[in-house]
Amino acid sequence: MEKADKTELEQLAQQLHRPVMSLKAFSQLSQQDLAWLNQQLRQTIENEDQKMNQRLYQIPFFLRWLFKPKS
Amino acid sequence: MTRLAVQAEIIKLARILNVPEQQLAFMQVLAPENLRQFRFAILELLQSQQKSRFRHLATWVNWLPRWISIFWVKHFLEPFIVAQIAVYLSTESSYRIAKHLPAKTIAAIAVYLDPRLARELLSYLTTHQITDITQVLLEQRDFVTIGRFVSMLSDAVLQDVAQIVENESDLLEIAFYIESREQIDHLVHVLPRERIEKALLIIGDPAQRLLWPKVLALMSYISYGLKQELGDLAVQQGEPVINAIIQATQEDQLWEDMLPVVACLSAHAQDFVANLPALRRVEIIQSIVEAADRCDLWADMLVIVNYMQDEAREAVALAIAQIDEQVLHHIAYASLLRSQWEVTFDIMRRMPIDKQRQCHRILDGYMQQLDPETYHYLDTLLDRYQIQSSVAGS
Repeated sequence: MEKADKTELEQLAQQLHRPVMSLKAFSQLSQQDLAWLNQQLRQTIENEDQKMNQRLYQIPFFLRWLFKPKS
Repeated sequence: MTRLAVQAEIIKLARILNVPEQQLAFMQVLAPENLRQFRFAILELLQSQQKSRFRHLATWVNWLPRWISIFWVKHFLEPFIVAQIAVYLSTESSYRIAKHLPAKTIAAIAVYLDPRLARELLSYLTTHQITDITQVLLEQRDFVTIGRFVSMLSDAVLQDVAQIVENESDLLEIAFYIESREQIDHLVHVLPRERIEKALLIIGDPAQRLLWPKVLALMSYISYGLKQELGDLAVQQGEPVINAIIQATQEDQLWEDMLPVVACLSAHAQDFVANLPALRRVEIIQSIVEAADRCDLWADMLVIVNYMQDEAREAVALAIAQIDEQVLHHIAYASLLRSQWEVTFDIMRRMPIDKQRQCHRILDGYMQQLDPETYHYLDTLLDRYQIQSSVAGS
């Protein structure tokens, strides 16, 4: 198995706001798999954000002002 | 618990990443603890991304008269949003709202609720409310959420909840998703024995094939004491059930999970299992030996081999002889740790001459460092079992 490229692992750690050392075990994954994981995680975050915006949109207008826009 | 625990983690992770489990097959090389930490890191990230949005609304929910908050939750706010707001409310405030909500609404919120918060909230809810919520989640077949919350219930409430879970197959699904090993023990302890027996018998039912790994998971997740209790109970069900367990373990290659279970059985049960014809089949013995070597389970394996009769020992010796020399080092070390030299020598003598020489050479290395008493003991065993010397022709 091809060893994981460090930058992919770093990107994953960065996305999760965790130190790279906490993902040490993931270094046995291939670079391709780590890249896919990074991409999937990005997509999950975006999807969650979109879902949240849709949910907020369904809330009656007089309650919407109570939600702070995402910082 | 290794392969099955990894499988459970992958299912949970796939649910979060919204991908089929098969796409995460490449993560099977990781340990369950690593996958679990990764899953929690993602959950925390997703939660913190949205968290700040709800603080303002939570302040209002806390400040407004209760009936308005309840009205909002019932009619305007989605379950996910309510679960996010709950993070900012005191448990008491959350309970004051929750007690006016129908079970269906609370069940929908529970799917997204932070487990740390849920633990406190559950202590406020009545048994009746909890069983109603469980009923809704059961109808939705959301075993992941039930598994998450079941582990937080007291004995008395857990017994009532178990009663409404009518099918043993559903109980197995729930147990599969419980996060901690102690809590599975807890669940098994409060269940009546006949329900556990029924759950074990699922493994002999071809119509429930998909559930078989979950029966094995139940047997491998529990504590050592309970492994023996449940394993002995399985043995009491007779040879067809044990054969079905062996078949399922072989089909799904779960020996690394099941070997520690067999090693925990009572002497009588181990003797029964170790000498079953099914366990002497070449492909099964090969899988067991490979799993023992790959997962460093020789200490458990030697305990089992100790109960095996001649025919089974021959099969083990043959399977070991087909792996590289490294396996012999692993066996020697496990023999030293468990003082299982007699059985190890008996296996050695059944191997081809060249393998016996390799074994002898490895033992020579050990014997240089041992105390005189152990040295003498091993020397006697070498003679008694007529293990070929490492020097050819001597």
